[in-house]
Parts: sequence; structure tokens; C-alpha cells
Amino acid sequence: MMNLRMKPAYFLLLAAPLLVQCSPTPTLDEGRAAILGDIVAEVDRDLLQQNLDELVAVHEVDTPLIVLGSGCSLTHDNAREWLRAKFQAFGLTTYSHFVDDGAFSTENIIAEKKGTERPDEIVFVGAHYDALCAAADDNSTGVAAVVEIARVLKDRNFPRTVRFIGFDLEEMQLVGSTRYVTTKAANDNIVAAIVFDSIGFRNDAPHSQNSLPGFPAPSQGNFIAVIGNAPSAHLSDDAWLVQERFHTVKVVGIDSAGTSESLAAGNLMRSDHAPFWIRGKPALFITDTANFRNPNYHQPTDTLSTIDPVFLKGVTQLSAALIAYWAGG
Amino acid sequence: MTILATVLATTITVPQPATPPMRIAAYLRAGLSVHSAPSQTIGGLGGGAGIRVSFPKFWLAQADLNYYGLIGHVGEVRLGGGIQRPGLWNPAALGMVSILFGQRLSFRTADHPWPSSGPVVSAGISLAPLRFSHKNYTASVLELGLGIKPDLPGVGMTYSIGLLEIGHSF
Repeated sequence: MMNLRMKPAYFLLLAAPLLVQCSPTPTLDEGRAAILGDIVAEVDRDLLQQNLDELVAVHEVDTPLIVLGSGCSLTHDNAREWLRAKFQAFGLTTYSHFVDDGAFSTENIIAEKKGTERPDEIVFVGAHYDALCAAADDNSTGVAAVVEIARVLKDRNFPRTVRFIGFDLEEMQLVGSTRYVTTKAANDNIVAAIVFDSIGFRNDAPHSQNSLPGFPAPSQGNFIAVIGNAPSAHLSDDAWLVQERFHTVKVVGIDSAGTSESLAAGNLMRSDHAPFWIRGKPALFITDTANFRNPNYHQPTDTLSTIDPVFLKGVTQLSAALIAYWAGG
Repeated sequence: MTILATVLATTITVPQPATPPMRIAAYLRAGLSVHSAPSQTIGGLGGGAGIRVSFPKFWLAQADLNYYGLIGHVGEVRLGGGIQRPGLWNPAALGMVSILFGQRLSFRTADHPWPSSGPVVSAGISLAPLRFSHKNYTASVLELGLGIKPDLPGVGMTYSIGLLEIGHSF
């Protein structure tokens, strides 16, 4: 006959795995979330498209930095000046982070809105402005979104500092962002960030989404991937909550193991968020998964006609809300 | 499992050496173990150490502790019991419980919006067709394992490949 005094211990032992897995579901801070509906509504699809059209056009007539054998070239000068002019026209404090190591130079363009209460706590949204080939999805969509978010947020005040960053030479192995995080921002208290890379291509056809073993993905390439790592998991929670609140775009989240230094995380480290992750700074990487969905990736066919403006607007709305939410914290 | 048991039982009825007494062996192993589910992927490449108890006739039980890298820092406890053929060619078939814990890739969708951080417990079988014993030593290559765990909704599968195992009994 069972000793009745031991029963609670048995139940605790059996329930232990459930207790480990049951933790409180995150929720939005409703005080900070109050303004998000207005911000989502202010994102303008026509202005986004105008940004995109102008960026692709300036890349098209730019002098190449490097000409590739595939008929594509790497360009960045015109896009850099276009971005600088846009930030200055918004009245934002605009400056550049210029580094020349003797081999080649990089110039990141930064616009900043100083925080009103905790200016040393920084939230940023960034995208690389250099581009290969026709440059529409990769990465004129990302830069267009950064500019539109800057426009929506420029007249609002937030407790934390908000930065809008154009990174240089991402296509040459993340040069601009690496130099930024190791020099200019090495001691910055970055509390949250979003990095865009290719956010405008959507395909609703079955089996239009590819993936890798161990990375389950929907069959249709009609979602935006929001990718974080362990130090950024709370940002991923917020992204899920905001998209659940406003339903601007379908989201699939990927949380990488640890700080993502493992071999299997390689494909999750392919843009300007990676230098921040390596240095333990939290950031979300937002992408349409590029070559895993878009056959025009790094091709002359990466043109404006392949971009889905509704999808791009939805991604921009989600991201604008997140930046405002974090800046208000 | 039924076919293999039949084959093993058939071979066991062929005249064999005298049934060994109960033996305890320690072993080292290297291998791959990955649990892949709609909500998470955990596991990796690595190895560990374990204890095996061989009972009279053809029963055995074993437990091992492993560490894996490649995806993140992952530990695994495996508990198994089954049957083996005595003799130089010493294949085995076991029912296996695998407990994977540690870092993992998590995937957020409408079905699984919140990542799980708890241990992943799956049950399945493990086959060691190329296992050999001589005197106090055992060596095994290419052990294959398959396990299953509900992911609700959906199902996760645990795949394991034992690349090499070397044991010594006492």
C-alpha cells in the first residue's frame, strides 16, 4: 500500500517536465502600445513605393565599385547620397561614420532622434544601402522601409534615442556594420534593433519556399521571417505580440540557439545584424529569406516589378510599431 | 522490430556458446542525434559515455550521457532496454528513451507562437546491426535510432546515428 505522505512527491516528479515548459505568456505593455495603432496607420504605401523607385533608379546610373562577371555590379555612392538627403530633409540630426583602412573606405549614414529621458539607451533600425545587380529587393526595399519609418517617427518624441542607419558594403561581408559596431557603437547601450535585408518579395504559390534540413518552413513564401537569437528572444516575443495585435503581415519567427556562434546558425548570420549578435547586442533580422524564396536574388532580374508593395508595407508597419514600442520603453 | 526479433530468435536457437552471466560494461560513443519538429530543432554532433548491463540469455539495459555541438550546447540522456545476440557478432535491438536538453533552434508560427525551453523526451528504437564482442571488449558502428514525440499540433522525430562505440566489460 502506497505511503500517503509520499504522494505529493510522486506528483511533483511526474509534473516536473510540464512545470519546466510552462512559463507566463508575454504581453504588450499597454501604456507603450497605445500609440502603435496611429503609427501603423501612418505608414504610406505610395511613399514607400516612391522611395523604392528612386533608389533603384540611382543605383542604375551609379558608377560601379566592382563589376561582376554575371553582368551585375556593386554600387553604393548614389544610394548613400540619396539616403543622406532624405534624412536631412526630415530635419533629423544626420552624420556619417567614415572609415578608411587604406584598402577601401566605408561610410555608414546615421540619422538620430535623441531620447528625452534616457538618451543613452538606443534603439535603431538599419539596412545596407549598397547593392548588387538591379537592387530592388536586395536591398532597396530595406532602405525604403528605413526612410519611411524615419518619416513616420521624426515628429514624435521618445524616452530612448532612435537611430536610422544605412550600412555600407554589406555585400562585401558586412564591412560597414562590422566597423560600426566595433568602433563607433562599441560602447553604445543598444537595447533593441531591427536590420532589414530583402523584405519585398512574396510568393503565394505552393512550394515556393525553400529551406534547409532542420529548418521547417511553410510551403508558401508569403511570410516575413523575423530572426533572433537568445539575447534577442524578448524582441522576438514583442514582434509576435505586435503582429498578433495589428496583423499587418504573416510572420514566421526563428530563434537561433544561444548567441548564434554555432555552425548551424550560418544562414541566420547573413546580414548586418550579425556583428551586433557577435558582440552580444540584441537585434532582430527581418528578411523575406532572399535566395530561399526569390529566384531573382543577386540577379539582373531583381527589378521593381518583382516587389509586392502590399507585403512591403506590412513589413514596414510591423517594424515601425516595434521601433516605437521599444523607443517608448 | 518484430522481424528483427524473429531473426535474432532464430539465430539464438542455433547452438551457441554457454550463456554468459550478468555483465556490466562501460562504453564511450560518438554520434549524431537530432530532434526535428515543427516548433524546434535540437541536437547535434558529439558523444558521451554510458553503462550497459547484460543479463543472462539475451537481455540488456543501458544508460548514457552525451554532449552535442553544431546547433548549440546540448545534452542528452538515453535510457534503453532490449535484446542482443551473444557471441562475436553481437547485434542488438533496443527500445530507447531520449531526453535532449539545452540550446535549440525555435520556430514561431500560429501553431507554436511561444518557444519551449524544456527537455525534449522522445521514445523509439535503436538498432546496432554491426556490433561485435570479443572477450571483454565491444565495438559497434553505424547504430541507427528513430524516436517520436508529439509536438501538438504535429509530431517531432528524433534521428540518431551512432558512428562508433567502444566498450569494456568488468
